[in-house]
Amino acid sequence: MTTTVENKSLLINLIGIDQRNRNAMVMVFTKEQPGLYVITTAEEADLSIVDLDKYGAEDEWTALQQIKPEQQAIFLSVNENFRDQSHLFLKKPFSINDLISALNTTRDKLSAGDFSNFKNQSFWSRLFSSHFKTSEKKLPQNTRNRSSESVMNEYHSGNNQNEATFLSENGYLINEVKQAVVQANSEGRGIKLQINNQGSIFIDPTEHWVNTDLVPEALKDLCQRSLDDTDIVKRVFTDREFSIYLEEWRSTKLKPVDIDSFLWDLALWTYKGSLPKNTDLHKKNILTYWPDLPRLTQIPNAMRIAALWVSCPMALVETIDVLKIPQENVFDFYTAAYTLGLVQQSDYILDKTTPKTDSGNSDTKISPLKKTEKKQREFYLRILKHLKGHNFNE
Amino acid sequence: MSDVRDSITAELRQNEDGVNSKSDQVIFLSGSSGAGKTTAVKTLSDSFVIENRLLSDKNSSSVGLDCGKLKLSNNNDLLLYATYNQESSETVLNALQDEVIGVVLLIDNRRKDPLRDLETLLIKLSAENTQPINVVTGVTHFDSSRTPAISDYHSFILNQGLFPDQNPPIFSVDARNYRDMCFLIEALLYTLDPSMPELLSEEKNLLS
Repeated sequence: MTTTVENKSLLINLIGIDQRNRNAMVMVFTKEQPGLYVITTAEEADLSIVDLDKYGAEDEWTALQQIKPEQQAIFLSVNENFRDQSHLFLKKPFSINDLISALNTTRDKLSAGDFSNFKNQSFWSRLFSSHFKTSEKKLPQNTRNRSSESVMNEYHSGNNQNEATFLSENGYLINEVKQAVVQANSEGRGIKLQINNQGSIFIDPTEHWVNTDLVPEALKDLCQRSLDDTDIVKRVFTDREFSIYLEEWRSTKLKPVDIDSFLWDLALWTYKGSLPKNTDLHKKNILTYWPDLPRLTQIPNAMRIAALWVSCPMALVETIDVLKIPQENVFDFYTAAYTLGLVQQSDYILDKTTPKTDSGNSDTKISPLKKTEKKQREFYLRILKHLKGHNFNE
Repeated sequence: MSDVRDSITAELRQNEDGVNSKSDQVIFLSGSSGAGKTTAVKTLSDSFVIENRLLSDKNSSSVGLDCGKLKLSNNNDLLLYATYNQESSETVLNALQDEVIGVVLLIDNRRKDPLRDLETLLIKLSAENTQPINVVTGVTHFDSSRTPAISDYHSFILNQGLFPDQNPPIFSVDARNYRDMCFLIEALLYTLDPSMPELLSEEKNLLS
């Protein structure tokens, strides 16, 4: 493959930029110029963006110049006195376009000179190099930019390689059940789905129960098959029929299942590591509220993902990287929470100068990843270790 | 009020057979009557439990509380305090503000208006604490009364603007169930720091 200048990434080091703005920049770069700008380490970078208003940033930049005198910089400050002849300067507040423009200028300058530091790798393959490897297999559907698609195709976790694929619910049992739940709740009537002669699923909106005579293995099997219209017969019960049915049901001694718990399991069995169609890997995910985790099938790291997404909305790919957890945990949690209607995908916000909407739109909800001090964190870990009786190394 | 805490910790130490326990952090349990606060403390504790103890300070104000302990390594313990009533909660929380990691609220879903119970508790908490306090909520007796649903609690908190800066975990729990109570404590800790690694549960999930 021929490599062109346009395909090369500008490697960027951030100095004095907090996690929130760092995340915002990642999103901007991904959206505006996919693959062109890569945030990396100081040693590797072609350019540093330096927030001179942050304590210690100037010293850090000075120290870096001793090691890499050739490195370019864009200075950010409210103070014009930092403006000099040899570096680009952006006076705060500045717009996204100003930043992109400054980056393009630097890029053009470097393009005219030495490109030895430019790596011909796409953005995500570098940023998430520990998680993904590039692949020329069929690309997943519905991702926003092609440069990131190729690296999302395969994932390494131990000896397993899973494909990140997207699945439309249409024609699957989960879709029929979800629609029945919505209808049952809105009409306040019981709804029965008869699936061929295999068994039935009854939605009881008054108690938020599902009654089913299908064993888990049969449900798993049904979840993974595409069903025809004739496979499922839906029946909406009248109040009288509902009462009679419940009497009959009680006589079976079968235990009802909470609707959310039932849908959660259907999602896990249906998607099996893939994602709902139209999921955007790069949009931030906001958890509207916590799932009732003690009553749901456990997904490893679900607690951490939930805690993260309610306080610090993050994209799927970011979540994998920030929490350093397997892709399947994040995808499983996303699909299950999505099925319960608990997760929303939202665009990012660059920084806290972005005005908030009066409506309290969740788009404005963003906060840095919480991380406690080391001593306190060790104490929390001892509590966790005690609760689980688990011996682990930290 | 520090007298009250001193007398609790002194009593705990006395029962440690000479071990000079430095019980320096607290999870506080509060909640509606009959929700299972005492049961929860007993469920989680692995050490000496003070039950139904009435303690007084120099000003003769009394608080009734239960206290349990998780014995951790490095001579640090986690104390669990639960009070009998709202007044005691206020007194103890005021005294322990700096030492409280977070609050576990337990709500009895069988009561007449459990949503209002939660509202009352949350308003009290926010009024009593100058700093934001981390809260998780356990809804008990959910099997006996399935309304309000957990989603109703979340909607209520959101609509009432009770926790504008937080989206607190709310789980249906059985205070007698160790696993359920662990979920609450874990949620509290991961809310404080999601970057902490997860400890693997021995429980198999349905995907396997």
